[in-house]
Amino acid sequence: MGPSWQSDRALSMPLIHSIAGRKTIRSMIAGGAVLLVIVAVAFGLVELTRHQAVQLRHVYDMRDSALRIFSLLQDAETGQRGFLLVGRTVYLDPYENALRDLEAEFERFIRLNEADREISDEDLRRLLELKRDKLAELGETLETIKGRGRDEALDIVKSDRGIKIMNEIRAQIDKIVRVADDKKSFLLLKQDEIASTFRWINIAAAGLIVLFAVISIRIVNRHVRDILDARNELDALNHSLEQRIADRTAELSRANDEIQRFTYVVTHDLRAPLVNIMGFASELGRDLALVKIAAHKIGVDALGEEASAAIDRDMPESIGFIQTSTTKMDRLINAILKLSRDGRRELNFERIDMRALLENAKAALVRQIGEANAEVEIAPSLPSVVSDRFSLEQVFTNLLDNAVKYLKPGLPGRISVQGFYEGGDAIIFEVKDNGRGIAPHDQERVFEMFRRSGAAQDRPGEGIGLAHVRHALRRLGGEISVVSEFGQGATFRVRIPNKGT
Amino acid sequence: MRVFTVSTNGAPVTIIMIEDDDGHARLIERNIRRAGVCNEIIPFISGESALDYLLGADRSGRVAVGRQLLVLLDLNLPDMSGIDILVKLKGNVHTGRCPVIILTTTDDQNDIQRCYDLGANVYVTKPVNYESFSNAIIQLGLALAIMKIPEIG
Repeated sequence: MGPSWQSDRALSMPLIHSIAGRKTIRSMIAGGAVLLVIVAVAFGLVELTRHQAVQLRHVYDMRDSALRIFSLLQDAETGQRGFLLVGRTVYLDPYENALRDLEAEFERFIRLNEADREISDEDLRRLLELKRDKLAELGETLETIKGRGRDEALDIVKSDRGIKIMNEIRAQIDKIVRVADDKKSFLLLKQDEIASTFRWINIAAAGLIVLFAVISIRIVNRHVRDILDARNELDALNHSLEQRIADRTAELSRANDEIQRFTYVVTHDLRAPLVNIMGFASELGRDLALVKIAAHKIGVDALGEEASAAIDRDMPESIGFIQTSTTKMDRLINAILKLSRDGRRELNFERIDMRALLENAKAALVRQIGEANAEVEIAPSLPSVVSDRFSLEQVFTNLLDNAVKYLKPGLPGRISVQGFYEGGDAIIFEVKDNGRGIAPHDQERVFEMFRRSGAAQDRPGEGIGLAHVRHALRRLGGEISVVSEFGQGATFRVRIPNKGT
Repeated sequence: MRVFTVSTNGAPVTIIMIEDDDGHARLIERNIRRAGVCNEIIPFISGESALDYLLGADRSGRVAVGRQLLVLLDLNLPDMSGIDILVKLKGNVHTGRCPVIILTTTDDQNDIQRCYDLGANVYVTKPVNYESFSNAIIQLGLALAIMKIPEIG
């Protein structure tokens, strides 16, 4: 699992996200469209069924009308027969009722038939003729009874004219009923077909809905899985990043510890031979003093010019050089030891009144300030900081000491300290002097261990102060820089993180 | 200069100097002599050779019975830590009471505390500055004059 693969994968995540989103939307649109089609088809089928029902009712109406016509004609005939048999006018009631209703019924039938013309005009005309003939026969019979008597009327009946017409009417009505029945059967069959189609469409729709649901669920599932995968991957990346940071930090702190230990051991081990050099040089000096006394007793003449010069001049000078060099080396070793010790010292963060701290630092340097004829002005109000007191004391004592140390000869020294906030997360303190300044090429060097500005060589010092200041500030999370022009004074700018509110 | 020999019940005390640096050993000896101490000083440059002498090859400490000893011990030795030697001496029934003066360059507070915890009698830091070094050893030598050293039983 290489880092490049991880970053590719991480970059492709929004793409996967949008593809899954698009797929979901597409599947939803498709599902919606299918549902709309199903609803439209169902609506059409319902309309068709309604139409079928209307037609069916029409067919029933026609069939009913035809049978009623026949029934009314039979009623009329029944009235005629009753009157013929009994001779009482009360028996004519069905006849007269039928006569009245027949016209209306025929009108209804013709109207019904006009819609689809299932019954041909010829058949209809024939039926109307037959009705007219039948009614004529019946009317004739009744007139005959009233005028010429029952026997003559009976003769008309016996002529079979009436029965013949009636038989033909029955045949016509049967034909109409058959046509209606056929149409009814056809319509019912069609209704069945529609119902069946409807059922299949419903089944298909249900299937499609289930299909879309399944597809949607799968897309959503995959989407969710992608998101979870991405999240897990991110977690893993975060974890490995944290692990890497922890490893790196551990490595660095191990390396730092090693350097500290190394520094300690080296300086410690350097000290042992130094003690010997210093010790034996002193012993030599002590012995030389004895030799000198003895030599003076002997006298220069007996001793010789060279031996005398060696005892009186060269040997003390050699011993002197050894001693000053070893003393300097001792100071350097002590400085390194101090750096190493300070590096291991535990920092103790607290709120610090910077004005009080700077006044104390100034007080500690009162003798040097007086000797240099300098004036140190600390701004009346300075931001307080949360930091390590000991470190800051060292930093500002060193900076003030330097400022006093490297003033311009003959010019009254003016040193000022001020402080201000830089944004929300840092506090800046500036130590400004009107001293000899630092040339641009020396401005980085002055912060290096054992390095000093070219213009500082006339003053005693090992080149440790500013290195120590930078080291201490970096431990606090701060930094130091210098702004200066050679001969124009220098401003040391200390940046301290603003930790407290 | 007053010259003296530190002794217990008339028997002279032997100073055992355990110091790996010959130069240091010589400088210490010279300054002790300057204080007027005339006692025999036996130098050892390694921990093992010093323990052979003090506790015997079997490390029982019986060899030391009847001796009057004072130990000057450096902590930085090539073969073992001076603290190990201190532990062995103070833990032995015979040499347990024998005075041990730690004379070392380390001024680490932890080391100082640890040595006293383990029974060291005096802890002296060797000053790097020779004048101070010389003074310290001379004063230590002078202090020997008034010290009472027990006989090892």
